[in-house]
Amino acid sequence: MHKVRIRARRMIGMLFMSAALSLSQLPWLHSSDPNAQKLNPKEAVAHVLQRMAYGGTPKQLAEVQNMTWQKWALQQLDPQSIDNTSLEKRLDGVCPSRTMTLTAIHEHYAVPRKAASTPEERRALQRERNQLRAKLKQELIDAVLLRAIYSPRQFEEVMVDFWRNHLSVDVNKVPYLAVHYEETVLRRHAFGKFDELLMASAKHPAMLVFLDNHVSGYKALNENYARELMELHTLGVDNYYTQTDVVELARVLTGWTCGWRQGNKEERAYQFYFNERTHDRGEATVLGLKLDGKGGMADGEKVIRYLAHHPGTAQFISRKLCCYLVNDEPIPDMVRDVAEVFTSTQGDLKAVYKAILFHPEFMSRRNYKVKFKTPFEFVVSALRATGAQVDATTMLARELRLMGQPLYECDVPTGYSDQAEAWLDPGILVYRWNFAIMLNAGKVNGIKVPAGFYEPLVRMPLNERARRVLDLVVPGLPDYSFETTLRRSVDPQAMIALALGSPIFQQQ
Amino acid sequence: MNLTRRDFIQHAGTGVLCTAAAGAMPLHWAEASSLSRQATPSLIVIYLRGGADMLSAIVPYADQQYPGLRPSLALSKPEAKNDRAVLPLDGQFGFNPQMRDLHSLYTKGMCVPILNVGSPHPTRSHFDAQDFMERGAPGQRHVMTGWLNRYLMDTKTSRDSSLRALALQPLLPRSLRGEYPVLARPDQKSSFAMDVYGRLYPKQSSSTRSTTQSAAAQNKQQIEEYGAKTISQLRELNAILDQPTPGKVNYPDHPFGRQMRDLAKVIKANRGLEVSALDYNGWDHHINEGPIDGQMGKMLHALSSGISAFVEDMGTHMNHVLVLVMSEFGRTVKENGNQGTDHGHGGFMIAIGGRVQGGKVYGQWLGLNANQLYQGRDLPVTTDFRVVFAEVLQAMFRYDGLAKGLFPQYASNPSPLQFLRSAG
Repeated sequence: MHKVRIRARRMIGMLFMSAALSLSQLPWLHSSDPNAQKLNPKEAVAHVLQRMAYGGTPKQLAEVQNMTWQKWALQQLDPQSIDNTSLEKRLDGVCPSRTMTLTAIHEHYAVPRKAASTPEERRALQRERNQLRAKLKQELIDAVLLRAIYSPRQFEEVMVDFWRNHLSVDVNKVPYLAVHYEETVLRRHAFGKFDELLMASAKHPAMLVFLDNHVSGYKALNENYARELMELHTLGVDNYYTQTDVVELARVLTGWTCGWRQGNKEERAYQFYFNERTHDRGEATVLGLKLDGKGGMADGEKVIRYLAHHPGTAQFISRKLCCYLVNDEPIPDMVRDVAEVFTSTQGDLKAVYKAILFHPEFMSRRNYKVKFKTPFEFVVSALRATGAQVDATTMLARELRLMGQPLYECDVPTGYSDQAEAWLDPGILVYRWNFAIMLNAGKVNGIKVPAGFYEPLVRMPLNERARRVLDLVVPGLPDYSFETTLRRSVDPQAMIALALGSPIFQQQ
Repeated sequence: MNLTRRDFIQHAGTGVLCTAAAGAMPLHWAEASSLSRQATPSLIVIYLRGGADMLSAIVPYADQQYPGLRPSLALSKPEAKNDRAVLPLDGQFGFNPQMRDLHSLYTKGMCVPILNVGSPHPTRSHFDAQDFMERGAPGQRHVMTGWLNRYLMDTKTSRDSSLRALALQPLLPRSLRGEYPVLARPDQKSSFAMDVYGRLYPKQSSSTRSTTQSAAAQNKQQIEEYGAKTISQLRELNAILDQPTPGKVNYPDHPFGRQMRDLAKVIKANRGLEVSALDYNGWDHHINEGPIDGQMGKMLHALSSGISAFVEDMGTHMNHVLVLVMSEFGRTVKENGNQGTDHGHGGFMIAIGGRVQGGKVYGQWLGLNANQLYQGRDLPVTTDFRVVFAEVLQAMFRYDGLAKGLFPQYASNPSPLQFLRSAG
């Protein structure tokens, strides 16, 4: 469907040309349009690696160029096809909780509250509780960072981070639930169907607790989750729904809660469940969808599916994805084309991503290096660009906190923004500069840029060094004016630090 | 290894180091009197994060219900020579004994409390309540800019001082976030980084951004602009703060005291500081509130002594300065089972400055009878925080926030409390 449309538009373009209109009469074709020129192959590779990955590692740049960006992108769109066993093996040691059930996580990491006979005992218990909770959080942060830095399935990491913020939870409010949420909701469904992703989040204790739905009942209605479900997760703010819809949806979702439950045959387990006793059985109408109130949990499922397939949702999610992957202000044509794919595939996320990445607009120069990296993107891309060896993430987590983006700790349900306006504040660059210096001076604890990274630069004639540094760290530069500044230095470490702290490295 | 300045510039002499030196010009300290003649009024907002308990700070000791509602937390009536008794204000209320310094400012007519201030929105969530208040938009989740930032933006001119607004902490408080660029001071030593990167972030001439550049180049230029601005503002700020503290004022040695000391330096440097906000965290006392000897008592003492040192340091310039203390909500009227209190509704503010109409307690008090409480458990809100914000902007900057629509969807036109005298 959308392919036809694109072809049609191209043909219209050609008709215009054949009508012998002077090129200068068409501003978008005019040769002085600074964005008219197509990206050259080097730029195209840089662009793809900045949007579908957290930048390239030194090795990867050549790799992608050799296999063409299109082939690389198709491979990335199918993460399962890419081997990542060595990373997973490392994560087995670093983050054992990621494969545990919620019950097992509670048993391993949550120290139960019990009466203590002495104040010393009480303090000891509290200390143990804090330590284990902190360990669990550390496991989650480690896994997020190590995957972002090292996963060969880079696009998977990029998209999981999108959903991590779209369906955001704050680990501090749900310390024992977040790691399971990351694995079974975000990672499991990031390349699946949107309705299944949404349903999985709706039925996950982390979301229910983070947005207070677990305590919502017909006697004490809590609108928090119902509102965000429409405002943030599906339709977009004040799109199609009213305050009445919020209340009605909240009523339909009463009884969606979680906690320790014993099934008929199973053991006692921590899980999502539907509590009929707190569920509101009255009739409800959400966005015109009438529910007789007799359906119990099925009523809620019906509305969530209805929301997932609503045209407003297709539009809202498509635009947000275009903002994330293409431009803070994507052109409406592109958003419309992507939304069409969203609708026609019933929210098949892989197809939607593909529609964005292979849209002619994706490779337009007007989208090249126009995004401002978030702190997370900056830190991860700096480590990838230098091939850094990360043995401990504590300092990285600390840096991200200083830069205003502590991982998994966004306390508002909007998640962290990926838009420049959210991050481009005076003061914020100072942390990035300091990080670039410390990283190359070997002063970030637990992190080392291997000597082998600098060596080829050392051996290189002085007059070639600056160009090489740029090609390594900020490949696909639109112009080399920056080289002059870089040439003021001859020390490879300093040169890399300069490049990482430069304006151009903050762009992607 | 160490990276030094030399590693970054082999051809030193014409480059980075020289620009760095230019930023560190010696400062000429203005005399307090000359400061006052051409003074910019300054507003300092102190945010007590966590929901500070009004009843333990501004104590309604005369209320019959009070001791019964607070069996372990109630403070005793004013009494000479009892340093654990509340400090009398108006016959009904008293300051917590840890607020001795603020009490003495009260008696001098420079400090007034405002009772039962808060939000019309019922939330008891810290985050929501703080957001709503600092954005001056209760219940409106889509307003993302702070009320102070909107004021700055609305009154922005090309002549604005580069230090017109700032936060002396790494994280910009929400009230200052928004379109107007406000500097948050990083807590890292950054002079080296600024020397190194200065050349990569050149100052922009206003006309350079144009459509003849590619999107990438325009984006780069915007980033350069922010970097250049960061460097010039930070250098200016650091040059001020690196000066030794003149005068004999002893600031209490805790983070809040140091922040107040630094703020005083910036104001006295006379660079047009108009608005600053700072966070004082940790007022969420669910367990062992300790109004005198415990957590809250210590914090009230720090707050009180820090402000008082600042006032002393400012001297007569205090006529142009207002310190406004606030918190997202008050706490439950009844104490809980852990000698603490839970999230409530109505809270308090305290205003300190030369322009306060001293000698009285502001805000309507409805007593502690259950039928007067909000949802039967919390102090009601009798003054919308926007009323206070509007009056402050009017009195300090002659800015009519209500007429200018500074508070979105706020249709009412309340009369001010008149706790401030307008600028003469």
